[in-house]
Amino acid sequence: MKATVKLFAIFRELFGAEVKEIELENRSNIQDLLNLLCHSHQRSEEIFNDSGKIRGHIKILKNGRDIRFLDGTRIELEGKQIQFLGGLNAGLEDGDMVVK
Amino acid sequence: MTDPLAPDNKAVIATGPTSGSDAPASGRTMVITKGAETGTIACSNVGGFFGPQLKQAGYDMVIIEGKAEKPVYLWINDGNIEIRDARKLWGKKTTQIEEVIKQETDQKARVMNIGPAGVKLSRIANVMFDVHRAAGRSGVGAVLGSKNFLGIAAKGTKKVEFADPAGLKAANSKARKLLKESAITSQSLPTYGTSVLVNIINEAGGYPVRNAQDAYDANAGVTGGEEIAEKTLIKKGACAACPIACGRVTEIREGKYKGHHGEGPEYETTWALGLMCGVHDLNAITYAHYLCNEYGLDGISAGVTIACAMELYEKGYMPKKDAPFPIMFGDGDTLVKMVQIMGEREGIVGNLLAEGSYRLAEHYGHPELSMSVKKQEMPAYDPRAFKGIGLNYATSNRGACHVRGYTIAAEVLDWPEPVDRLKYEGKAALTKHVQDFTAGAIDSAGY
Repeated sequence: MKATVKLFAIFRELFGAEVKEIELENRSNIQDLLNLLCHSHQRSEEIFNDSGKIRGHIKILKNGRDIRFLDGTRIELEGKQIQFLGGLNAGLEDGDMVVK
Repeated sequence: MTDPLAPDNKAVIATGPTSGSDAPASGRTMVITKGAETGTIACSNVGGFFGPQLKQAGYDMVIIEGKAEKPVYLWINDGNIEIRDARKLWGKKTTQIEEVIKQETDQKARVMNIGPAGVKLSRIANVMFDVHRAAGRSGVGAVLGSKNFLGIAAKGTKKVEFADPAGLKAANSKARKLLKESAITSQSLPTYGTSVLVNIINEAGGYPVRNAQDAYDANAGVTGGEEIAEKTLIKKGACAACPIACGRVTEIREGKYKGHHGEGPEYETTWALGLMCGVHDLNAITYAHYLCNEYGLDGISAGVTIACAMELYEKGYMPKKDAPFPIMFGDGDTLVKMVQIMGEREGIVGNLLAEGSYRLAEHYGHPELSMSVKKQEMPAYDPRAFKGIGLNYATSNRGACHVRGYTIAAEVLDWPEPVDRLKYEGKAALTKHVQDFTAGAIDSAGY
C-alpha cells in the first residue's frame, strides 16, 4: 500500500521534501510510517523524545483529522493522506498522540 | 442611540497597564468606539510602537469626541499637546501622512493615522499605526474620519513607573521563558510568520475559499508562510517589547508588482485577499495587502467584501453595467483593481465595496452572500470545520471575530488542552472561557 505524506513548516527542511509517497506493507499504521520516515538520528531525535514518545509540539493529521481524536499512532493508513505539522502545539506533554 | 459617525460617539485610544515596560507583547494599543460597520462596540487591538510612546509622553489614553471644524491631528510631545492643521494631508495615503507628520513634529515620533479610507468614511476603515500595523475591524477609522481627526503623533522620554517593579521583572522573566519554550512562539511564528497557519487550517478543511463556497484548496500552500519565507521575506519584524517577531518585512521580487515593499501580509489578509477571492498569486496578494495599508482599509473585510462582489457578479446578481470590469474569482489583477476602487470609492461598485460586504450584498438583494456576523466580515477559520470558532463568531460582542475569543487556540493549537474541533459538546464552555480570558486577562493587561 502507498501513503502520501505532506510535510509543512519545520518538517520540510527535516525531511527535505514537501510531499513524500511512501510504500508500506498492508495494514501498516502511523507508527510504522514514523519508523520508516525517522531512520536518521536527526529525524528520530526531532520526532521522538528519549522515551520514544512523540514530542508534544508535533501534530499529525490523517485526512485533516488530528490522529489523537482517532486512534493515535495505532490508526491504520489505508492509503490515505497524512499531514505532518511541527511547532504548532502549545507546550503539550510528549505522548503517544492518543487523547485519553 | 448614537450614530457611530455622529460627533457624540467617542473614540478611546488606550494603552495597557504594562505598556512602556519590557513585558513581552505589552506594546499594544486599543482603539475603542462604536463601530461604523457594526453599530456596536468596537475594540481594535494593534501592535507597533505607538502605545509605549504615548505612555512615555505621559498619557494612558486619549479620548476623542465631538467634531473639529477642519481636519486636524494631535501632536503629543512629553506632556505637551498641540492640535495641528491637517488639511493638506486630508485624503493622502498613510505612508505620505506619516512622513509629513514626522517632518512637522519629530522623526522619532510614532504616528497613527486613518489614511484615505477613514477620510472617505469607509465602514471598513482601519486606524494604521507605524504605517504597517492595523487597528482593524468594525470601521474604527471612519469614526475618526467623521470627527475630522486624522491621527496622533506621540513622542515621550519619561520613565514609566510601575507599582511593583521587582514583581513585574520576575513576571516578565517567567513569560519570556514560557515564550522561549513554546514551539509556536520560538519556532513557527518567527520562522514563517502567522501565515504558517495557511497549510494547517487548509488541511483541516477549514480554509474558506471563493467566498466560503468551499473550505479547502489543493494549492493553498503557494500562499503559505513557507512560501512567503522563500519568495518575499526580507527580514523578520517585531513590535515593541515583543521577543516573538512574527512580523514579515517583505518585498515583491518578480512579476507585475516587482519592486514594491512593505510588511506582511499576515495570515488573515493572506487568506482574505487570497483564496477567499480564489487568488493563488502571492505577489498580487502581497501588493493588494500593501494597498490596503496605504488606504487604511481592513484587509480581512476588504478581501471578504471583494469575494462577496465576485460571487454576486458571477451569479448574475450584480448587473454587468454596474461593474467597471469583469469581477471574477481567481484573478490577481482584478483583486488589485478592486482594492483600488474600494479605497477611492470609485464608481457604483467602488462606493458599495467601501461599505463592507453586508451593505453591498443587501444592495443587490442577497445579504446571505455576505460572510459576516453583526455586519462584520468573518476571519480565516471556517465555522463548519471549527465548531468553537463558529459559536464565537455568533456570540462575540463585536461580530465575526477571531480576536475576542480565539477558540482555535484549543481546536488547533492545543491550548489550554486539545479539543476535537468537530464536536459540539463542550464548545459553549470553551467559547465562554476563551472570551472571558481575552477580556479579563489579555485585554485588561494590555496585551
